[in-house]
Formats: sequence, structure tokens, C-alpha cells
Amino acid sequence: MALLTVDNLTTRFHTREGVVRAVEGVSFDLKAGETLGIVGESGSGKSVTAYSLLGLIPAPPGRVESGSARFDDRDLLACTPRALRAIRGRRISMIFQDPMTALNPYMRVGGQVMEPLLLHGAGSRREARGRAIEALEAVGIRDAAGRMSDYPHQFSGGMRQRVLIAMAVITNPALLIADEPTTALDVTVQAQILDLLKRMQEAAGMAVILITHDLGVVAGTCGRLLVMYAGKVVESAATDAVFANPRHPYTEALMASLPSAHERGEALYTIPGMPPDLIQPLSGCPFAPRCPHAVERCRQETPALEEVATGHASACLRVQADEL
Amino acid sequence: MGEGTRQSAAMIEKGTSLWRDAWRRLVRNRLAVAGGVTLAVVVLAVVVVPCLLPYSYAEQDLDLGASSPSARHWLGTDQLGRDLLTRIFYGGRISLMVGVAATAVSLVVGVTYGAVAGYAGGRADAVMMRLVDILYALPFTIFVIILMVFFGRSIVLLFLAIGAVQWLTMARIVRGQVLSLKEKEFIEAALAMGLTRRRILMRHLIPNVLGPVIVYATLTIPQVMLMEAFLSFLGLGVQPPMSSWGLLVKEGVETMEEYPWLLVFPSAALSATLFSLNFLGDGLRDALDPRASKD
Repeated sequence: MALLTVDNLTTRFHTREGVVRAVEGVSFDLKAGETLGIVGESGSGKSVTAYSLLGLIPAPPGRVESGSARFDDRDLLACTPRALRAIRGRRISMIFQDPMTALNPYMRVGGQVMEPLLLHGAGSRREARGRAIEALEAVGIRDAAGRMSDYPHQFSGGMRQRVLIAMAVITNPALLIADEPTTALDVTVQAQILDLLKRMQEAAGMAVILITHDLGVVAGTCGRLLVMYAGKVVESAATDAVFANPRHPYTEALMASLPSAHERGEALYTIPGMPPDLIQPLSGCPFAPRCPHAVERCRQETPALEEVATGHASACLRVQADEL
Repeated sequence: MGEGTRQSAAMIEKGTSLWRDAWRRLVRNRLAVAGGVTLAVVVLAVVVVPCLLPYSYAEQDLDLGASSPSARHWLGTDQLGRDLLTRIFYGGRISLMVGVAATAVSLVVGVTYGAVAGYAGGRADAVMMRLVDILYALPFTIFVIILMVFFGRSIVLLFLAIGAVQWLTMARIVRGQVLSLKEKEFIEAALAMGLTRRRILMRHLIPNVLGPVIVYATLTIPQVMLMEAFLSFLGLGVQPPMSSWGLLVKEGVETMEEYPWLLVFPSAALSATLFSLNFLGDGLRDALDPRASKD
């Protein structure tokens, strides 16, 4: 049974300039213990999708217009704020992009790691302290007991991300949402953090949603992959299947622009054009203006996400028609 | 583990709060300690000493008139023959009381108001800050006079009136700080962790704005003391024969050529207190910022 079932999620921002259709009819599901990667460029709606689930969309101007998200036998999108607060940090945790600002500079690290436990009423201060030390040790912080009383500025960026991971998993959540957890870190640390995430996930058996713009990050960590473009899912499949045989021109283009796909010294591939303005109503396939394979039909008909092979869905009309 | 763990555990038990830590850092700052000690002595003195003095603040000796410091009157007397030393101690009571009370009002109201406005944002913020703008635009003197006319003259009202004006700036400072802070990811992380907005405000936002708030508060105290002198000069504040430091200085200035001691001593008391406050304020700001410490 699925741990989380998101159905037809639509989130819009009602700004003075117009309505920004940040997320349009996104559906996916996630089994317990599974890792799902959500990939897309800036503004593709991948973060908004995750934030919508936890009710963290700034409202106004943001609004979840429709959809449902079944989790623990309830609909996250219909929960009262109170019920949502009880889920946040206990059943679903989140880690953020920039470890430099994600910790309160005025609070000791120990106090911050203990906070979710104390907040959700999991035992006494003493117990919480013990578990915080264990959690810090588990994420590879040496002399964890001693470092409990340090302040965030006494940690490096990678160490802070480790602290944040410890903080997120300390309540044994069923789901961890990681929003670009490695983007702000340098490459060697990135690998360590991804490795750590994977280990924590296996140890705790939690599901992970990994949001990233880097296909390379997804390749080694995620079992399944969702590619988003202009607020819509354009491709959804097992990661291996996507890498072996991408079934959407956008995914193909993303993969072609990976530096590793190129010879040394060769110019890197870039996707021509810009992502569409999400305030303008879209007609046809949102990727059509940048797509090398686009035909007239792509500009007329709006494609839906449809299965094109077993467990492999694509929102490309021409792929669906077996033309590509 | 073992030894090291126990040792560091003991360290944590000793100082789990920001406050205890700040205290440790504060006592290491010599200027701040000197300021604090001076301030404590001044406070103690204005509370205790007046009971021990042989004169009362209103006792006149018209035959004596203004006399320079002597064995009988250590700091001399004013034109009415009142003992200056006694008047300085009594005046200190009023000045410190006004300073602290009005600053406390401005602190409580200003920090809460500013933090709520900044954190709420949007329309609530706009409405709340426009209200501040309107109050800002009211001429202070007229505002106080209206208050006094409606509610009669009293020292308590004086505190309230000054505090009611001082919190405006505090609210603006705090709001600005909170506006920039709330974009930081740790606030978002706190929300994602399931904290209520109220708890985020109390636990994460307000401690982060304490630095500038404390510095501004220590600057507010002298400002308030001077404001009190001004109001007293207009006859709206302290009523003679009672006096305050601000008032004594003001009177001293008028006669500084003939009776310089009437200016020098009250000014010295006022300046010493203000200096101490500033040193203490600077020390507090540094002590409250964990990043400022070297350890």
C-alpha cells in the first residue's frame, strides 16, 4: 500500500501580476521506504509540490486549489493547521537547501536537535538529550555529546547539513522531504551527504522525496523519478529506465546537458529558449516552444501523463503516438 | 566516551540557556562589568542615601543662598539654599525611575508590536505600521500635554507618556529585523518541524533581534531622561520642589557663570550613569551574540 498518494495537486499563487500556475495537476504515489526523486529546473514547481503537502505555502498569495494527498489515512491538503503541525516534524520531516541559514544562530545545536522530540512530546529532556546525542553520532558528528553545546557557527556547511539531517530523522518520520539538500555544498561533501541520507533511510526504513535540479544526484539515490516542467509532471518512471531510455524530449535534453555526457573540451549542451511564463495560460505542450521534435499538434493539444511502457509514463504526444 | 562525555555533559548542565552563556561572556568584558557595577552603586545610592542625609530636598535656607561646596554642604547649595547633594540623590531617583520605566514600556510594547507586525506581514503589517506612522507624526509635546490634561499630572503618567512615544522606534527596528529574519530557512524549518507561529516568534525570532534591541534600549534611557527634563521645564513633568537630574542640569546651565557647581555635579552624576549604561549595553549586545565569542 502506498504511504503517500498525491492526486491531481494544483497550487497557484494569486499575485498582483496575475495567477501563477506553479503546480498543475501533479499526481504520484510513494511506498513506505521508497526514494522518489523530483527533478526539474528552477520554477518547475518541484519545491512548491513538496511545500504544498506540508501546508507551508505562504498564503496569501499561495493557494492549494485542488487535489488530495493521502497520508496516514488522512488528506494532508484538507487537514486543520493543528493536525498538520502534529504531522510536521513527527511523521514527515523536511530538510532544506542552505545549511548555513537553516539553523538558528542563537540556539545551541543540541537544543535544536532536541526540539522536535520535545515539541512532539516524546519523553523527558534527559531522554531527548540522549537521543539527540545518538542522532548526532549516527550522522557522523564526532564527540557528539561535546558538540551539543556548540553553536551553529562552529560547524562547517557539511556538518550543519548533517545536524539538520539528525534533526529531521530524530523523530523517526515515515517520510523525509529533502529540498535540494546538497545544492549549497561542494561536490565531495555532496557525495557524503547523499550517502548519509541513503544510509539513514535504509536504517530507519523511511521514504524519501529528494528534490533536485541535478540528474546526477538522482541517479545514485532514487529508485523512482519524476521529471517536472512548468508545474507539470512530464515523465515518471524507475530511475534506471529513465536513464536507459528517456521517454520525454525534455528529459532527453536534460540528460544531454549533463557535463558527463560530453567529451572534455566540447561545448556543453544547453536547452534553447526559456521555461514558459507560468502567468500566461498555457496551450498545448509547455515544452513545445523549446522542443526539437515539436510539431503543430504539440502546440494545439495539451498532453496528459500516460503510460507508454510498463511503469513508465510520459506526457509527450509524439511519444504516446509512438512517433519518437 | 566516558570522561569526555561526562565533562561536556556537565558543561551543558551548567549553561543550557542563551542567558547563562551571555552572562559568562558579559563578566569577561571589563568595561561592561565596570559599567554594571557603577550602575548598581548609583541605583543603590539613590535608593538608600536620601534616608541618611541630614537635609530634605525641599529644605530652604534663604539667608545662605547659593553657596559653594563646604564642610556643611559638601556639594554646595542652590539659590534657595537647598543642599545640592540631597537634591542630586532625590533627583536621581526620579530620573532613573523615569528612564527605566519608560524604557521598559517601550521595550515590551515595541518588541511585541514590531515582531508581530514583521512576522505577520502583508496586510496586518501594513495596517500596524501605518498606525505607528500616524503616532510618529503627532507632535510629541502636544501628545503629552493632551495626556496630562485628560488624566491629570502624575509621575506614572509621565512614564506612560514617554514610553508611549519611545516604543514607536523600537517597533520599527524590531519589525525590520524580523522581516529579514523570517526569510531565513531556520524559520521555515521551524514551521516544517511543527512549531506554532507563537512559539517561533518567542523562541526563534525574538532572541535573534535582542542584540539591536538591547543597544537601542540603553540609548533610550538617556533619551528618556532628557525628555523628562524637557517636560519638567515646561511644567509638565516633575513638580518643584521635587527635582530630577535633567531639571538640575537645566537650572545649572542658566546660572553656570555665577554658580558653576550647580552645573558640574548634576552633570557628572548624569554622565557617569549614561556612560555606564552605554558600556553595559555594548557589553550585553556582544554577550548575547554567540558568534561574537572566540571560544
